[in-house]
Amino acid sequence: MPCFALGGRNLEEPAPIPGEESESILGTIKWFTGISLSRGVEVATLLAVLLTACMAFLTWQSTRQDGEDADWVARTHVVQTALQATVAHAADIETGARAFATTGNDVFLEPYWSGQRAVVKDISMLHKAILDKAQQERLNLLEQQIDSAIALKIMIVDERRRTGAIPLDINRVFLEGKHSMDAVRATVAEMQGSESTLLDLRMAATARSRSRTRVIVLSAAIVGMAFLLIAGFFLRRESNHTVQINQQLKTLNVDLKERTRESRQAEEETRVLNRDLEERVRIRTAEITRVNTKLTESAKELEAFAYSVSHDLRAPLRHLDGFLSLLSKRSYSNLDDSAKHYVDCTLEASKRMGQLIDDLLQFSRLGRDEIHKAPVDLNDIVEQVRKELEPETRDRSIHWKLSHLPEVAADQAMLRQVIENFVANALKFTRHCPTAEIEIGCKPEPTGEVVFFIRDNGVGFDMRYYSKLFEIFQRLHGEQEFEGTGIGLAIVRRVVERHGGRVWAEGAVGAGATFYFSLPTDSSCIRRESSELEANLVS
Amino acid sequence: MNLKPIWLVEDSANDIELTVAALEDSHLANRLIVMRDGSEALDRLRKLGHPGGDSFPAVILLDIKMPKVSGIEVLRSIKADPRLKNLPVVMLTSSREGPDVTACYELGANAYVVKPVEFGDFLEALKTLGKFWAVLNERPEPNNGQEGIHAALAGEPT
Repeated sequence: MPCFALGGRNLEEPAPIPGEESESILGTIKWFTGISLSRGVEVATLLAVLLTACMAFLTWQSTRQDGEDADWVARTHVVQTALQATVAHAADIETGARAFATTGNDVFLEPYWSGQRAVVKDISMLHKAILDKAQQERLNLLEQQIDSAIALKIMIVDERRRTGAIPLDINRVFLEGKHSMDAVRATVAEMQGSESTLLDLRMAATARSRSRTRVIVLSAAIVGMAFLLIAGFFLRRESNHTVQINQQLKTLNVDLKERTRESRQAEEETRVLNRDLEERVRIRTAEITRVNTKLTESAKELEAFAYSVSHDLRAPLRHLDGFLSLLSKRSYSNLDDSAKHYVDCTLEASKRMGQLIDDLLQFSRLGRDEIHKAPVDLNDIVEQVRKELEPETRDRSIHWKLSHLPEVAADQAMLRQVIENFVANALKFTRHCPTAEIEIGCKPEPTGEVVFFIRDNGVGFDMRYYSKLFEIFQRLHGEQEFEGTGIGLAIVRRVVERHGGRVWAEGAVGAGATFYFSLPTDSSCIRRESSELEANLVS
Repeated sequence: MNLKPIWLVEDSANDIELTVAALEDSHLANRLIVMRDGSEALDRLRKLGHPGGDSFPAVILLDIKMPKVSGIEVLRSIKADPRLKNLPVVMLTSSREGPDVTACYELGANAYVVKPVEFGDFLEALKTLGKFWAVLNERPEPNNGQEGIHAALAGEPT
């Protein structure tokens, strides 16, 4: 079937772009596209099968008709032959009987007898072959006519035998015989004509039926082909669809494989990286542990050193001071003036050395002591420090400008040392001012820290030496001018930096100085969000 | 008047001399008994209250850093001995550094004094110490009345 062949081709070959080559065929049945695919194939195939069955039936019927027609033709042929034979045999009887009657020669009786036997046979054959009713009636008439004709012959033949002479009424008998033979011939002719007419009629009917069958079969074939075409169209659509889906599936599959490969590769890379990272972490951890151990050892050494300095240096110093004191106490009056001066200077120096050692120890302790953070009120600390330094400020004219300071989370004792150093410095370096002006304040910064400052109108400092300002044992002023060990600001820096803050300063010679220190907001208690603050304190 | 002596356990000759000068300056009537190291102190502590031994002191001024037996070991022996544990012990040291303060208090020291560097302050400190422990402070009598026996023995001519 062409349609299946078409479908088969489409199944094997890649689908052409839909609606290009098939546009002309399929354009007319565009509405089919609305029908669901499987439904369309089902209906079209069913109709095609029904039509094929119908065609098979018609073909079978037509074949049967052909058989019947052949029967009819054969039968008619038999009837015609038998009718002609009947006339011939009747004529034989007639001729034989007439010759015998005339001559009395027995030779002429042979066709007479054989004719009689043959005529019986012929009539019986005709009875079998003729089915048409009118023809049967004519056959009966023919049989009677032949019977009567034969009976007449039998009569004259018998008479000739009996008498041995030519019968008297032979002329009449001959005439009658001719008449009866004429009747037989007429009946046969009529029967032959009827038979021909019947055959013609039957043949015409058959021809009509044939042409009808041809039309029906042809139409059925066309319609069947149409349905098969439709089924093919649906199948093709389905096949196109399937091919497309297959193509998509193939693409997806390739994609998936590619992705799987990539993901595997990434996994492998991650594993390698992880291994590397672990290795690096292990090495780094070992390094850190080593450095940490070293640091711990260093810290221990430093502690031992501090203890040693504290103990071993302080003891001889104490003795020095002790004996000199005893000397000046018990024998001062015995000394001359320069000896007295030497004793005084030595006592002064030992006192200063004691101070240096104490400061050094404090500095070292600040580097080692743990920081215990707690909310600290800086305003309180400022007040305490001012009160403590009152003996020094009592006789001076000092204008304090104090802003309210926020609470911070810090080590109370350490922060106190910071404030103490700053305030003591401010007082010290404004000593020669008629009116000292000392300002303490703060400003929150957007950088996540809060900045405190202490400003004075004292002697200030030269910014050229700024780098030495916060270094230990570095001083920017002479010992005679302003006393001090050069440790205060180093202590300040150490404390602030250990709290995560910074220290810096601005100043100019003779124009005062401003010292700043910042603390990270996580250690400031400015109450923006209490929960955040609590979290910070816990951490 | 039977004044209890003051013990000074100190290895530094300078310190001994200065301490003696300071106590002289404070005009205390108590006798000062000086021991030069921890082992000597332990020896004399063992004999304390026994025939031929010393009488119980009013206070023991104990230096921490000494050769052989340190002040802390002496302190431990005193406070571990039920007979001696009520003796007042004042630890003297040159520094407030190190774990000494805590250790001493945990062992039961009665005071912990850092010797001031300045002699004036040192003098003042020792005056105060002497006055407090030798004069003002009261403490329970030693166990078993041994001090009494010892006092009787000590009173006898030898």
